[in-house]
Amino acid sequence: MYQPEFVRPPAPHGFHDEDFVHYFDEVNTPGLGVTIPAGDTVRDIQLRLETDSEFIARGISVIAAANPQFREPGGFYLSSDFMPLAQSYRNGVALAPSGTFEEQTVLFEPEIRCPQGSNFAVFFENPTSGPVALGAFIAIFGVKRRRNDA
Amino acid sequence: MTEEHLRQAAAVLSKCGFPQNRALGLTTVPIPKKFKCWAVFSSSPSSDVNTVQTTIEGETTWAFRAISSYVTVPVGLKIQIQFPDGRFLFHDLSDIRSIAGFGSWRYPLTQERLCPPGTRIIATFFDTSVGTAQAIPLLLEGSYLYNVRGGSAPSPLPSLGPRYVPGDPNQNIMAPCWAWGEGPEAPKGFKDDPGGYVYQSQVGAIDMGAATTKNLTLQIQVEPGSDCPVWSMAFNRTADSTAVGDVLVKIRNSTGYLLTDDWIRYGILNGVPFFKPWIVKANETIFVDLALIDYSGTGNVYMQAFANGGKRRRNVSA
Repeated sequence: MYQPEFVRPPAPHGFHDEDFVHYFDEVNTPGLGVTIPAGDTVRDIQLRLETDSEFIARGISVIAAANPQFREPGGFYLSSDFMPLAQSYRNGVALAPSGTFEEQTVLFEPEIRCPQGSNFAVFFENPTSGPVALGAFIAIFGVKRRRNDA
Repeated sequence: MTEEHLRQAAAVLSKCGFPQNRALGLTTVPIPKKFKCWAVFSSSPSSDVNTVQTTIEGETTWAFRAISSYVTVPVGLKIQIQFPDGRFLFHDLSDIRSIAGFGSWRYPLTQERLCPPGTRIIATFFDTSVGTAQAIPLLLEGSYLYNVRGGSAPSPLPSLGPRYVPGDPNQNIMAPCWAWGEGPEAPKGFKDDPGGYVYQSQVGAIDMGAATTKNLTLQIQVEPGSDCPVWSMAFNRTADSTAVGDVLVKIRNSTGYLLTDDWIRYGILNGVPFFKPWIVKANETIFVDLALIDYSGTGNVYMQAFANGGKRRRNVSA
């Protein structure tokens, strides 16, 4: 993803940031591998963040066969309804080298501060007239904010 | 690389406002250096796991700044990367496509990781598509950091920090600051909900029937409790297999403000970021007028509109 020519504000005094990516698929989150019947939804698939430090979420990439809606750890929903992927969590596909989805990262603005061990929740809707195998990949990009003595 | 070269580089960089360690009187000169980290899986690998250790060679600390890779479809690879301090980049083995790309699509680290000479970066690859031969060209990008004593006068405003990310090629001078999830701040007395918010309209259908109107209006209602700073508009156009037609849009809100002064093809606006947010107040409605053009066939063309922005609330403590 392009990075504007501004540095981020530094971590608060006594802390430092480390790049980190939370990645979820049907291997570590079985709910992302279900088959959704026509017109049906799956709800409240929990995406558990690591417990060792606060996580500052700054972007997300999604590949899925259904329309997602996210709820961030503070309880806020990120859209008013299920969103078609092409209009929500995919970005710049046509410009990218083949086989990548990092270019589809959609940025969180403002960033989302996630307490350690907190959860994102994702909901999916199958808007088609037939069942779909969800086959979802979700990568949440950001930094871990650690105490300097940790 | 000689000492004189480093001193010359330090002098030039200092005049460009390059950050210096004023307490120690040092200037850090970055010299680009990349390490390749390659692995190959045959079509019948003896193991579906391949661990590649990259030893940081050289005489000074290397700053790890980005990862470039080239993968081809179909991709059946997972990856984990461990930094020299023992920490991981991912919380689990991750599909390599989550970071794959090169050039502008490389994966830049927002915080460089310092790797002293002799330490190792360990990449673990997992073949999820056994039966397909795959090569993984991974390039670990960064710079050697040489400290040079002296240099020119320090930047006059060091407390503001450098405008340019030192030595980082992953930059775009046209990128607005919010493209990296950073600001601009909400006005005084307001705060933005984290993560942004997307409002969407109903799905509108325009019938091809000769006697029906070819216009339609989509509505996006902003909730009563917050304003919506709109950063971009997006549209989803679909059509029955028997229907052909392009769609023009005209966008306004319920106060009468016109975002477009005339009809415009929706594709021109689709997902294009605004450099300044369009503030749609609480309780207001965004109207997207649609006009079907160049149409033929039978059935319907469907449109849905999205306002990509956030929820801006009055700060009760202000």
